[in-house]
Amino acid sequence: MSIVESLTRRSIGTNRETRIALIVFVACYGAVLFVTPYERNSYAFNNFAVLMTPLAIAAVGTTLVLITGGFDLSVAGTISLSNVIAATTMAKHPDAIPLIMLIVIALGLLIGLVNGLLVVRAGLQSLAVTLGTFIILTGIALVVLPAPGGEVPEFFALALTDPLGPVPIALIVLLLLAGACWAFSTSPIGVAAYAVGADRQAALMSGVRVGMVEIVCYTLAGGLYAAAGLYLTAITASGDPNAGRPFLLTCFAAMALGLVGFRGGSGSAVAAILGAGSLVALPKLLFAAGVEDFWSGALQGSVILIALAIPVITMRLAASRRPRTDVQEGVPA
Amino acid sequence: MTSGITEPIVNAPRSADSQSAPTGPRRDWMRNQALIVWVLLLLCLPLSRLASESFPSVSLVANVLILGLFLAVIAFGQGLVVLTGGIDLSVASSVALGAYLTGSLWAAGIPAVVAVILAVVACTAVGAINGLVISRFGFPAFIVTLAVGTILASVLLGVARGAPAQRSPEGLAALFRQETTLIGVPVAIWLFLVMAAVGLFVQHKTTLGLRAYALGNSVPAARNARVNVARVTVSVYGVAGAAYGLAGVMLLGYSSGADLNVGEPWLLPSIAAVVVGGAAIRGGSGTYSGTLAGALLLTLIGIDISATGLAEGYKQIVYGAVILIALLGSRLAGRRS
Repeated sequence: MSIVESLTRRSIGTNRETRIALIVFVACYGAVLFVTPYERNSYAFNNFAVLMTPLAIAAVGTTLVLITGGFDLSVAGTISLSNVIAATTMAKHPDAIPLIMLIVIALGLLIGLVNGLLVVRAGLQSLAVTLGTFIILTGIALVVLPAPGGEVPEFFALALTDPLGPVPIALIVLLLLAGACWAFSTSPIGVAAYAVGADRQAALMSGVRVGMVEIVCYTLAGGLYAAAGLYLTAITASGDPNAGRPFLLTCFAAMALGLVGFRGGSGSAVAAILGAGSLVALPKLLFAAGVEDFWSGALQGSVILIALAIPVITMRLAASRRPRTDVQEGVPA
Repeated sequence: MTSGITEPIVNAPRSADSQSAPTGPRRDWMRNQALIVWVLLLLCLPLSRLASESFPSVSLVANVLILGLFLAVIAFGQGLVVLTGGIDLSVASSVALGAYLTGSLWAAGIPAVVAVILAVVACTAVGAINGLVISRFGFPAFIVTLAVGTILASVLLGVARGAPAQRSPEGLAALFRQETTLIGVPVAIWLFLVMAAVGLFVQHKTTLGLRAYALGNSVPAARNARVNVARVTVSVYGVAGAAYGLAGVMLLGYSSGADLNVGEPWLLPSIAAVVVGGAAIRGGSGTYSGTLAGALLLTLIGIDISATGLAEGYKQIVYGAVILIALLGSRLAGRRS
């Protein structure tokens, strides 16, 4: 497959997936607005945007890796680590917060780089490598902060979560993120990432520097997880060595809702952002329906399975229709 | 070697040619890796001296075997799943289901033996659901098991309504006391030996075990050999679920009670034990003897770390590092031959 071909394939696919993800999101959020009157104000909207931002940032990271055909479980560990580092250092050095943020994001990039190098240069399986780094990072997070605690200065939390006039900061972050995703997916490396995920051998033969592209994707993903961890810290204003654990499931659920293909080579990060929005809206619906909070795990799990099943079922339907016409055409011949 | 030669995705149908070539020499080495881990384990026993003055001792060996029992049983299930090329992230919830059901059924007046059987059957059913979804739809195993595990955990939480820990049936708890001995050896150690024998038998001597190897090496080839892929997948995940449930029951007995988090600490070590034991995470190769050695080695390291008074986090770091080192090691060895 040439790059041009994969480019057209991707642009077609991207548009459709983003549109479906948008419809799902509008339906979910619309339903929330419809059934819960107290969600219909700018304060609640800001809260909603803030709540979905860490998940959206992290899901973009896992999507980047998934596009190249890899699974990244280190998302949970990186978020935990970045969360505990921020929660243990920021309150002590309020003047150095920008520096701390830079260091944390650099650390995330480094973690991603290590993942990428292990997967590409050592030729290990992405799932196994990132599982290993996930466990190690969780361990480091536990060493840094053995039990939930820590704090961050109030101005740091407010700067990232309070609306800027009428516009929520989180919304600006999300829009910037979506813009960056779009720019990345049309950049040469982004296009190459789709090519690698769709058909590695073909990409290799077309002269795509497969290893380099993969390493870039893992590295960027690591940086995004660290950023997600920082934003999460601003929301919770405290640290928790297991803060990242839920993201393991929710990131994959968000990607499933964003119709990112789990075989690589397709999907759009913008759709994953919308998927994250839908995923945050769903528990609100449950809450409005009076269902207890602890069932939300069951909901998220089911959502993954259902979202995964949709392409398979549509394919089966299409396939069951096709042979019949084949037979009809085949008989006269 | 040039860059970028990695296997594409875990569960994507793999081309048979890339898989079949290195099997022969790598197999030989895998047999050695199990041996290497056993040797490492024996070396680490005296080295425990570094962790504590009172080590090594008979009670240390006994503790490694008793604590290793749970990991060995859980890693048996995980190992079977890994053998088919999958990975099971529903371990924690299944273990919790086994413990919770046994405890609550016994509390409801059902005889302990019946409660245990019912609990294990329920866990088998959960595993079978995993296998069914994976084989019917061809989804990646880790996502399905993650989703099913989360659903199960959430349902357990909903049903238990945050109830306090389940109490263990009296007989079950008595079984795991150090004083309960048979010919001078704690019953738990006998259990370990029995479970090890059963595990070795199931993985290496039964049709199910051999078909799991076949599936892991090449699904198309297995299909050509008239293996019912869907049925094998369902049975493998079902047996794995039964193992988790059994481990849950034993954990309930060992700690004389268990809450819903009882399975949480076992997921990552179970994968680590399988990988350390020399099983290829892509499936198709590995021995249960290696997994056993891996489980005991990790248990020993865990006990040593606790003895030195280091934070819990270091244990995790060691588990993760051990996984990465084992992966790199088997990769390098595969390359050399």
